[in-house]
Amino acid sequence: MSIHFLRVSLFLFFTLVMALPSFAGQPMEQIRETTDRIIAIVSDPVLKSPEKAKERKRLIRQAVDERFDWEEMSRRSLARHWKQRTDDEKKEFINLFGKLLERTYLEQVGNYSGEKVLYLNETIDESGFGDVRIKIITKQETEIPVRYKVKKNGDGWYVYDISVEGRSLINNYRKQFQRMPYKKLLKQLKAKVTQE
Amino acid sequence: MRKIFVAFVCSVLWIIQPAVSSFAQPPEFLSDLKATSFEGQTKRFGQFYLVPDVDVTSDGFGGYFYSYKDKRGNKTTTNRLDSLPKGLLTAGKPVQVAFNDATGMPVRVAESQTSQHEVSGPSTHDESGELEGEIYDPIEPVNRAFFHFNDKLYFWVLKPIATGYEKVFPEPLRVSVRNFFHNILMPVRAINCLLQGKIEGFGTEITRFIVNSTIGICGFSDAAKTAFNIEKRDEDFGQTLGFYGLGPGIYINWPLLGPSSIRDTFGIVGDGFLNPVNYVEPAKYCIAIKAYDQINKTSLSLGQYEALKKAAFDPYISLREAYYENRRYKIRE
Repeated sequence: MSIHFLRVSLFLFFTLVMALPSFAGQPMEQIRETTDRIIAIVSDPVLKSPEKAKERKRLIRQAVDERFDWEEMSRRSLARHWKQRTDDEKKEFINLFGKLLERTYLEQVGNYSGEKVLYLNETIDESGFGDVRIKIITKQETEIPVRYKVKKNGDGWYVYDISVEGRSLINNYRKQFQRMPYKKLLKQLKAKVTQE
Repeated sequence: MRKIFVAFVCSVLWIIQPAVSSFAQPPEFLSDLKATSFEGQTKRFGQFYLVPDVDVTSDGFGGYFYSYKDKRGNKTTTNRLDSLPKGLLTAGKPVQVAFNDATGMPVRVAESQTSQHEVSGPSTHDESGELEGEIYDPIEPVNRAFFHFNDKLYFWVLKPIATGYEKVFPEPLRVSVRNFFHNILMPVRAINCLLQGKIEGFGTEITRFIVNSTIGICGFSDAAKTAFNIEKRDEDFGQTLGFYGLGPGIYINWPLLGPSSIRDTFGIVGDGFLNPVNYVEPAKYCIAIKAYDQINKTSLSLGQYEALKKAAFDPYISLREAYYENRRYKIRE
């Protein structure tokens, strides 16, 4: 009895020790988790009916929200504009910009039809930044290399940039924002988010 | 034909000549690069260009920008970098930097030798608003006009035809046609692998061509990938020039052809000699084949350009940056 108990507790101890660090520090694992969750939602036949469209959107949005760092994305895209903003303006921008990115993302995954995701590798540095590289294989057999840039916050890794075949989302927005006056930019952003 | 080819090769050699000649004497602080090969970069010194006076400024969020005056006296700023390369301790001091010409990334940094330099405080750069493109775009008004032209061409001509075509022919068939056109372009990829010294890639392309032309039935099926898992190699002459250190020069948005640069225009011309379709006579058949290839390709990527436009605030800049970053990525691969 006692030997059995010892064995069980040893087993539990080792599995815990083995499992914990990999859980806390692996950005790729977390990206995989989110991706799997989103794939499960978009390929769920029940949610595909038109009356469930809203529910489907809400679920995807929730999953995306938990993995993406909208503030970091806004900050890096705005660059020089960011410093001149008040806290309220920053909040407003993060909210709107997050919605725009979310919608763009939703439109992309909305067309999901059995694309495969390969998880290639990850790199982490001491300052809390990391890289996760994956490959998407479309049903037309095209391979699309994707790179997530992640930042550590507490136990989680949060995405602050996505590069598709070297094209960084945030760099692209920053280059566009640089030459625009902030007012014009905000107006355009609002128009984009409200038009559905 | 032959004369044109010789003239072309000569002009290319002339262009890459400074890159090749700089092989001989690497600057002193780069001399150890041969041994270390900085983070997977090629060891060739011809690929680097050295800037003696560079400002390094922090963006305030843990990232850095490099700015300097280029040959033409224009202020140039690199993309944001997440960390400083080895050899540099603090931001704010002027330094000399070796940049990889093709990728635009700093590979090695040393203290600046010139002392008359003014040290600019951090974040001055952020306010200056001169983050504008790493790719030099002096003919932007012309490029924008052509961008507009291409935009209309897509929505008024190409898209309606491709949509009709898409309705009639099922996707697997269109993918097969795409595979066929991809297969006959083997000489372009194979020769450019060879020119870059990627012998393995050359072998891969030859193998793929043989497998796909036979088992894959004239290249309509990518049997090499599906049955033997041989990955395709995407190389072209623009990438070869980039590989040997030639920068993009200036951005050109060609009518019909779309985003390009001086370097990649040379690339397109060079690859033209290796494209079997260009040897089809009379010329009208050649044009017809190319138009069909384009319509078929477009039918497989309908909606992508629309998505880019919908997400963009300035589609011209968005496309330009996307092009530039993608080319850089391909050269680095």
